[in-house]
Amino acid sequence: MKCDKVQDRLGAYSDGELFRLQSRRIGRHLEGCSSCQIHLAGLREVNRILGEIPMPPVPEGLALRVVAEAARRVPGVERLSLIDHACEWLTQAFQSMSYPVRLAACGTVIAASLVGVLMADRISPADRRNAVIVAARELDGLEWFGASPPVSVAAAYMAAASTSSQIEGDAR
Amino acid sequence: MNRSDEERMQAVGKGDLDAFRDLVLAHQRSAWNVAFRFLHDPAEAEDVVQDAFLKILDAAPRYRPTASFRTYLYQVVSRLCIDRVEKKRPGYTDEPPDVADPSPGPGEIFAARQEEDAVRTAVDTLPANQRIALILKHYEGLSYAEIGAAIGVTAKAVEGLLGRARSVLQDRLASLKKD
Repeated sequence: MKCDKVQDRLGAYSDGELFRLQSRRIGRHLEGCSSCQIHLAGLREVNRILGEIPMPPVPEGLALRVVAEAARRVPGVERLSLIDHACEWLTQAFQSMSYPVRLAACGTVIAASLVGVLMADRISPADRRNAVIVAARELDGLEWFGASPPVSVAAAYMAAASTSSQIEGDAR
Repeated sequence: MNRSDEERMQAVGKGDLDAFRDLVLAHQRSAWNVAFRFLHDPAEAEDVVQDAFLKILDAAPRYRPTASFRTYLYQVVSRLCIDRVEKKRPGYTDEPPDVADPSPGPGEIFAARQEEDAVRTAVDTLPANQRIALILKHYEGLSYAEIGAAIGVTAKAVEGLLGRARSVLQDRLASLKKD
């Protein structure tokens, strides 16, 4: 290879950007060419100095200022609700599962849904209405009321009313 | 749960400010490095970083991960840096900034400082495309293909930009050593 061609590609050679064959050819040329070796050394010296130029750190609070400005200038950007985060988490959890685990999870959900549907379906709407009616017929009126606190006017009333009802029942 | 930058961008597009914050925290250093090394002014560099992330926020609903987020960020930052310089005259870059002000030391340290100043000055006078290519290569470690994607040229063109830039810097160093 001629020196001018080699020197044109020394940057890419130094950066590791050449194909292996090209790199080997340039490497072989460099072994026998002091002029190109000097050129490469100069290039590496520039790279070294560039790397040593100091750099100030990221200004403190930069990210906070950027985010605050974003929130101020783009009012439509709002934090997602807890439900949105939960949905997002569930979606990502599902996507991170392997396919067999995803199938198992879907199967479990479908099976649980079917069980629920079947159990609900064992009592037909008509039976559900009748159950309420039958239950209601067994009441003599007082059971409609919920339990009263033991020491209360309501409990005393209930006791008195219950006694009265019993007497009437016996009289029949 | 760890999300990729591309996933975070999609979340940002749906209005997730927390995802935006995570992106800023993860990439502010890279954006700052490029902007400061290009502009050499902390206030301008911070403006560029902020503008870059706000532009990314605006574009998030339309974002499609055809390239990595990192490449996209470099595209935006590079464009803003070059635009800023093209609006101004380059006179402000003639003097190297006082990033650190070392006290006079031994001769070797002084010579090293001179070399750094000479190279930094030479970098500041490079055409914008050569300068940004040099910064993305040396300080962000991008490949030629990645640099090309960031500044809108081919990898071969990047090789040419870097070659010309380094040639200027080598000449500057050589003339410094002659003096």
